[in-house]
Amino acid sequence: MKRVLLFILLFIVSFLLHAQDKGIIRGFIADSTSGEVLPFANVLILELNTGTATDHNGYFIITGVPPNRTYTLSASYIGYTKKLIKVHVSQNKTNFVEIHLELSGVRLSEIEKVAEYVPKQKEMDISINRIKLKDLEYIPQGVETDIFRSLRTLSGIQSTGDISARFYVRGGSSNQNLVLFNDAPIYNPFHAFGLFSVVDPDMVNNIEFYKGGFPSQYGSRISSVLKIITKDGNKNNYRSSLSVSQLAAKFLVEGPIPYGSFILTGRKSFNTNVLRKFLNDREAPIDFHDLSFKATYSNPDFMATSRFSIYGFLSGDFLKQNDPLLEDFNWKNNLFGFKWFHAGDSPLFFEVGLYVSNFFGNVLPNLSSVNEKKNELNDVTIKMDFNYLFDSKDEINVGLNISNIRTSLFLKNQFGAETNLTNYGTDFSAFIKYRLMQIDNFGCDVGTRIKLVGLISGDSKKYTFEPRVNLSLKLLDNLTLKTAWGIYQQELTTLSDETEIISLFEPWIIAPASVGSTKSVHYIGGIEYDLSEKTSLKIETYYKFVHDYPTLNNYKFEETDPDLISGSLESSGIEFQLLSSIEQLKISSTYTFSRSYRTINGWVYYPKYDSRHNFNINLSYEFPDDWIASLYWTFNSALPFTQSRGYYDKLFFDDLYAANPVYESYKPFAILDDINLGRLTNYHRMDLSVSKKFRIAFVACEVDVSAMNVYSRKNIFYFKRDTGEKVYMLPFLLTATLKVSL
Amino acid sequence: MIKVIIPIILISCLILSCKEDFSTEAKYRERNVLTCIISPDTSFQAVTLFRTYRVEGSPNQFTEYPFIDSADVKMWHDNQVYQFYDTTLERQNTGRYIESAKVYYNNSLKPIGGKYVEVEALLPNGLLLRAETLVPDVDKISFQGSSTEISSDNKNEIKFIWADEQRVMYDPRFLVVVSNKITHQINTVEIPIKYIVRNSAEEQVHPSITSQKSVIYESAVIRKAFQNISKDDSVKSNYVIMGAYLELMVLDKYLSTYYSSIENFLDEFTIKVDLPDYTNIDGGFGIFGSYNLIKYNIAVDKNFIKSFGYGAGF
Repeated sequence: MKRVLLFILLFIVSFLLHAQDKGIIRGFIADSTSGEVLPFANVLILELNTGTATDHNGYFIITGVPPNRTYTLSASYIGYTKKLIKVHVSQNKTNFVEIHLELSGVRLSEIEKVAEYVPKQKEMDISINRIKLKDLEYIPQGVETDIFRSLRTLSGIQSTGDISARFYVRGGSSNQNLVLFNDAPIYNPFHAFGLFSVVDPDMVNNIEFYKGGFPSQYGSRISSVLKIITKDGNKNNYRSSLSVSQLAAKFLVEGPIPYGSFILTGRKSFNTNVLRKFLNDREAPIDFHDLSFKATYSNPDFMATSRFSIYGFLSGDFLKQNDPLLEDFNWKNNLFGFKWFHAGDSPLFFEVGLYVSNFFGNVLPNLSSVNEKKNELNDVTIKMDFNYLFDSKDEINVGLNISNIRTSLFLKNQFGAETNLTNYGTDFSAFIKYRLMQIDNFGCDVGTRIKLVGLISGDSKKYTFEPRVNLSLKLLDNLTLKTAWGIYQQELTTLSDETEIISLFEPWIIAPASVGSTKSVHYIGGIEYDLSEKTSLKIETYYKFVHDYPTLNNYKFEETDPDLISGSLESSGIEFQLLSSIEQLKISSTYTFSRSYRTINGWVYYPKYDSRHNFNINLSYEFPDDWIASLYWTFNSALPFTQSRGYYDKLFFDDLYAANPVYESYKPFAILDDINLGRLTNYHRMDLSVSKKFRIAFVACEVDVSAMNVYSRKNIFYFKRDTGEKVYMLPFLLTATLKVSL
Repeated sequence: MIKVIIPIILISCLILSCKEDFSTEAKYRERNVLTCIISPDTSFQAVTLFRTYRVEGSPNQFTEYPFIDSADVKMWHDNQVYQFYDTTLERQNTGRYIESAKVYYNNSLKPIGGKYVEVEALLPNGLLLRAETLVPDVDKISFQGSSTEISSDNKNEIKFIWADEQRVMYDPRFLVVVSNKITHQINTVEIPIKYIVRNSAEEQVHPSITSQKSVIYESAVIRKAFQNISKDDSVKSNYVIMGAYLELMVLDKYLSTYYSSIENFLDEFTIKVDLPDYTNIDGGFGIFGSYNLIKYNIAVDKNFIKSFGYGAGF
């Protein structure tokens, strides 16, 4: 461990001492009204026709600029007016600029081409979707604008229907998705049985979503990374807003503080009647809340080139049934983080972060026959991330991650077998990544994660490597080929029961040594083709293999039987994404063909989310006077289910003191066929929404009316084996949301 | 483009909205089911044999009684063989089946704790179902550490603890023996672990079958249960408390696992579509289990009894 630390220190010092013969331009791009940073904005030196894009902090750096000249810097961002500024570049000096862009009165489509030019040149990552908060406005929002549900409009994302916001990426299970709130993971990112995600979209600046092939700075999950980057808060003015939907009320307060800004949002459910529509008319007395905050501080008199931020997130869900013979539920997430971002005079910048994230969930049986369940996870992590840019535009990125994680779980399964586990582990990982950018039309991103110490005690494999490679070749101005390969590893898992289609308790544990860490290999290839200035086509194909895939042992009869058994997963598919804008009409359409297989104890079966064909289309039209109309239609081919081979009369009893029950206490019980060989019916649904922004005096208002499942398609959710009754998903539902801002 | 896309969507919606159906049933293969719970407090033991069935729609619509006649059912216990014979029983609840219930019975098998009982059922189609159970040995169970007397000094609770090497399920019940001087009847009254109010009515909650090796009764609940013995009678002296004891039912390991699999272990909202089944029957489905009973007597303080106006009869 000491050698690794020494290596990293030497690496940093050597780059700090490295002299630059050429000039450097670095800075931030921000919104002129709020001061909010603009991630993935474009910066171009017109005279050199070279440029870059800002990162998720709104930060950019351009190295290798010939010195002693004055250049014109062009900064642009979708929805903002392009800005040109003059910058004089001196030798061996870093020139700092802070560019504030103004919101454009011009229609988006007119500036989109310019805005997207630079990222496409630079972008090497494959299977990534960058979502801005504005993008969510073009999708019918339903009961609540929901980040997770909006992911379903992307290719390669599968779900099990309307009832759950859980998502499955390219055949992986939902616990293999890393959900980051800034840098910290949220372990149970759902409200209300998984119906909604916990993150309030009003808090979000932008989202980065990797469906696979993610670079080596991301670890600990094997399927996808969803990084939610929150706003910093308005640096210039105080602002507040209130909004009310049929489910919850929420508020937002933001404004300047000395040398910084803050933002605070909160949400509380007040009426869960609308949830009955999702739950087949069942009463669900759910009470949930969440609270998010962030404060940033950047003082020119104190570490002038540093920016500090603290952030936090708290959420709680309670289901109290007010009946002593029924069980109650309680889930909580608490997360607090600190980040120090430093960009010095050299082309080195770094981030140091510390966060604490914990999850607590329990089922209180009261006097019911439900078994008690309790799960707790505590994660304390320190991470460091250093970036250095060479004059040649190449980049090197190294980092460290030290996580202390403790999980405890108590539960009793349906056979009365208890699980009582407390595990504690330290994950000490480092990563290194080299980004080759100096060759025109070719980019290469090579790196590896190195696990020095793993969470799983007793795992004999030390110093495991997770190498990753991303390649990008620009064949024509409008045609780019990309490919990625990588190995990924995960040591935390949930005890998820695949046979539960609504699951209230998915506890996290450190995987037992008998199962070991789960490893995955991704192979991805893709083409990005601009059909015209305003139409782009993206095609990707993937193959994923997962080793040591932990699966809940549904036949744990004794306490000594394992909770998890090891299996494997194989998935492959091809995805198409077409994006177009015609005047004020935006079109986004995706099609995915995918296949997934799981193998457990020699049995091969389809996972419950294995829908072969998935098609989505989203149309949105911006009318004059801030009217937006959207249409979304989705089609998923049938999901698998387990058929019945027949029934038998099974003895049920609850009191053996009464007369011997074997005479007549019988009920029909289904005999299951081999798992998931049947298919339910196809799923499809259309949603419509209309939203309008307007002002009343100094109050800005926004009204959204959405109709979900407009043709009231009866999408089957499941059938009850004991009665044969079919249960359907969400019927037609009309919802409205009002937002008022001061 | 919009002129093309929107009609495509609308036509697709119309086509795909047509009614579709799917089969919930896979290929059927007949199997057989043996069910028997050996009781220790009687020499009458009963076995049922059913065949599986297939039905379109709700299985509750199936009305053809699936009992298997003409099987040869035997049990072995303590070096003796017991032949079982079929008989019919009147149904208390007709439910789906109109005809009388049928069982195979033997009325001379009184099991001994700590010994195995084995069963074999040779079906008319030549198939054999077999299973065994070890009748729980309750003599090894100790109640050390349990409360010894119900009195006014029990400030908070009466606790029953039992030590048992087996990891099985238990069904405890706390009973008070009461004699009525007028009717000359002797009854047992079960003390609940809690009184609750549901839908504006008071209900008693009794211990359920559990893997825990203790049960606690709050003193206030015990006092209320004693008061309720003569709830509708103003002449308290008509009641005589003869004694009190904890009766503990001990399930064997197969019956324990089986019970856990059939009890309502799931919460109200979780939906589990594929319930795994548990059986210990070789060659079929069902359960062959046993249980045994043990009593632990607890003294009742005379002053405590008198505080309710009752007499002490021991």
